[in-house]
Amino acid sequence: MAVNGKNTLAAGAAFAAVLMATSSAFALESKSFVVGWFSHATNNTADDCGPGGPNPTVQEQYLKDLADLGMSGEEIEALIKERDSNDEGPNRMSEIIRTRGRIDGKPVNPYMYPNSVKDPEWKQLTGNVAYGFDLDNKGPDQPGSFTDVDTKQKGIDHKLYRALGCSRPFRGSLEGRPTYWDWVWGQLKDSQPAWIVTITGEDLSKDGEVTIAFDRALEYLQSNVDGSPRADVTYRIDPDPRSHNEMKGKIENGIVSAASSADMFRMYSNPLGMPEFRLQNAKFNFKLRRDGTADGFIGGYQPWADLYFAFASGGQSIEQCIVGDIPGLYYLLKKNADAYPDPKTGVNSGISATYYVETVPAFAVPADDAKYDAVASNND
Amino acid sequence: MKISSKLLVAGVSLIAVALAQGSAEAARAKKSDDTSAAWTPPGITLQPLGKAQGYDLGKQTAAFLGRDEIVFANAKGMTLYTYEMDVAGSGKSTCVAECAEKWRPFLVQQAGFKPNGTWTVISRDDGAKQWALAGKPLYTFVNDVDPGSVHGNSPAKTGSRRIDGAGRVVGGGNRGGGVRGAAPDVPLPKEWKTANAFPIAGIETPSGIQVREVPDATAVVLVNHEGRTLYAFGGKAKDKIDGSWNPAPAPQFAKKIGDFNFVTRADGIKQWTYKGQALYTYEYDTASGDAYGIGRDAKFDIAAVTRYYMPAGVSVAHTQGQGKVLATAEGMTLYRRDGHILQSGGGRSLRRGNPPRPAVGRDIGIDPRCSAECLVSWKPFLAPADAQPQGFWDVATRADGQKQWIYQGYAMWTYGGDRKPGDMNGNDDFQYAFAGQANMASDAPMPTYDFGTWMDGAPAMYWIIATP
Repeated sequence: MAVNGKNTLAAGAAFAAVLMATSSAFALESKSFVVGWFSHATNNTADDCGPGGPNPTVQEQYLKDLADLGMSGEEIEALIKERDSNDEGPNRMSEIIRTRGRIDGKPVNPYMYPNSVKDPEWKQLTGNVAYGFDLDNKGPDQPGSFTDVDTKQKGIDHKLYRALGCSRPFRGSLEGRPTYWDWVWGQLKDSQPAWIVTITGEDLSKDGEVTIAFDRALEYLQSNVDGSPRADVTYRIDPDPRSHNEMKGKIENGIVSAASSADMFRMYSNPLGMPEFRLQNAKFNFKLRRDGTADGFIGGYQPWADLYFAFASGGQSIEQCIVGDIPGLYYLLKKNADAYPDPKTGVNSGISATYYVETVPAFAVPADDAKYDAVASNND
Repeated sequence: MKISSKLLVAGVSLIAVALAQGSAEAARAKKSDDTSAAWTPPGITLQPLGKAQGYDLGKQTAAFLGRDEIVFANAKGMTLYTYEMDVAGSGKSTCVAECAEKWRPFLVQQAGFKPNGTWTVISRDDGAKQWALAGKPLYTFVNDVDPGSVHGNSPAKTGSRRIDGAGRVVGGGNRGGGVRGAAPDVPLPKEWKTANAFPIAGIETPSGIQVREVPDATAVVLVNHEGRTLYAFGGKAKDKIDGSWNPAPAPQFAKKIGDFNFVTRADGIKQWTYKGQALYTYEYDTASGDAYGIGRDAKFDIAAVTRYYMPAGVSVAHTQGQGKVLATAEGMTLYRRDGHILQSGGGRSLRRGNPPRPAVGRDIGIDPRCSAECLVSWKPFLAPADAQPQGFWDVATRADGQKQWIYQGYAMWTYGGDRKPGDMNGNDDFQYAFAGQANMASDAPMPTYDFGTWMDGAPAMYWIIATP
């Protein structure tokens, strides 16, 4: 039931845990939002990669890879000529590139075996200002940490930004969106189940304790004709327990902040972006705007394999068109991983990461009514 | 605490409704045996052709692909053909000697077959028994090696790099277009025709009513001019019908056509009937392909022209947001294991967004490439010892001799994390298969075609709900 733009939480299994945790003698108020933009938080500047600027383009890297395979300049030139003169037939250069890994001297798929390709030793970000959270609570003196753009807090952990910050598709700012995320979000927003944020408390117009729930909807994001997210649309909450997350937090001066006590914040996603968006030690910071929208950050330690798969699952097509040299990204992620060492190998499996999220107001209802089943069918 | 109690009651009610619905649909599946057996007797299977096989997605997403053409196939999924030179009903095959070396007579493997509707048997000159459809002898083609192939042209060649049924490495092109420079398809000679199961020939329908496959109904059904599924009323005239059911109106000058007739309602409106039963739409079917009316009211059944074969022990369950799924008799969701394919547009999360690729499913077989931890939760969906390939279903034999059901090429599994009918808590569960992952035994090179990966990307294996 909607009242003046606010959602009164309807009874239903999906919300049972929220209500049980927050029920009291007072009526609870909740507001829901649907995520309309998602990317890792970036704050790039012109000089944050040091001399020479960002990493080479993928085409430049391919030439280096061919040289690393022992090809002479003449041989590489001949391959380029053959490629450029033959649009239809087999392309030897592409075939060599997509089997440029070597194991025991034999060619292998470099996306499946990224460590079979020589590390191109790509640059990582040299800047020291970023959006994010002090995830490890080690404070300001931690080497490689950032200073927060807005709060000026030191000791910010966002190694994902450091890892990808000098690779062209991932460079950008909150306003100037990174190419990679513009592509991914543009691909997914019309088909991936929408993500819903619900904030529940006694009076959301005042400072106080709140519960923040993250859920996946059964419907995908509804958009306006200009492609922007449409406000005040009703979404059904997916009853799948894997896509329900809660955090305890507070509102202070219109800013909602929270930290997850669960082992893992997790949201199933589309492998084009990442198969599952999952964070350990998750933290959340959201501004409630006067126009009813909200935006902010969610951070935590993320398995870097999820990010690598998102880049590598499209193979050479996505490498050439979108993300750039995939083995290069593999080495950057691995080198910057800063948490959760594998008990057997000692290699860190997690990388500190902060994501930037924009939302618009929405209504959330439980998914238990036949008439809504029919609505879902329109998504086909 | 008062609120919590209410919620508990609501939750129990939801479970009860779901269980009741699952049972209703299981009962319906049993009822379908008569027409489904006529469509595909034991030993006869079905294969969609063309893009609906899911290999060649291009920029489309699978959710938008209709199965416009389905052929009858042998137990291994190989397309069946008829020969123009054969005279229907003559009981003779004219394809002999050299012809029969390329176009192999499709012989009856099971003893004791009895003619079943349009399915009959002829005797060849050497005494062998050959299947016939509508009196025409049936053949397979010697160069068909993958399910859904036509005249040796496999739709799977445009998909993942893999070893085809003839042992050749094929596929691996970009955007489903096949490898650059690959030979074009060889056209089917004009004197040979595929034995089509759908579209169904010879059904006369009035204007505004069509015959369409509705997978959620596990049937080929009647639909109205908007493509909305039609339901047949099997109750009595005095039965009360709630407002969810809307009569399928016939025009003022409607005439009897084939099995279609009309009745005039009390308000003067004419309503179509099919085989004597009044036709309705269901209010909450809002899009073509919906079949939410199934199981809602015992007086209504889908207006089926023919139904899929559904084995005993298989039901169809309702899910939230993903339509119908195949399920056990108890309504527990069935899954398949598949390799990830990149989809431009990202449509995999939509209903029917993960197309089954029968040849890839066959490659994966009954080994899910699953870690020991994973196998604790995932169990094979077993078939009876005497189970036969039929319709979209096939049977595999496991190492211990037990049989496992295969649907559209993929082994079927259940998930231990599902608690009640309609749960699909294992959907989209995945494991990576690139170097350094737990289920990769070593960094030794592994062919990507083991995983059904489209193009050349890093592979992953997914658990995906099995949709009808």
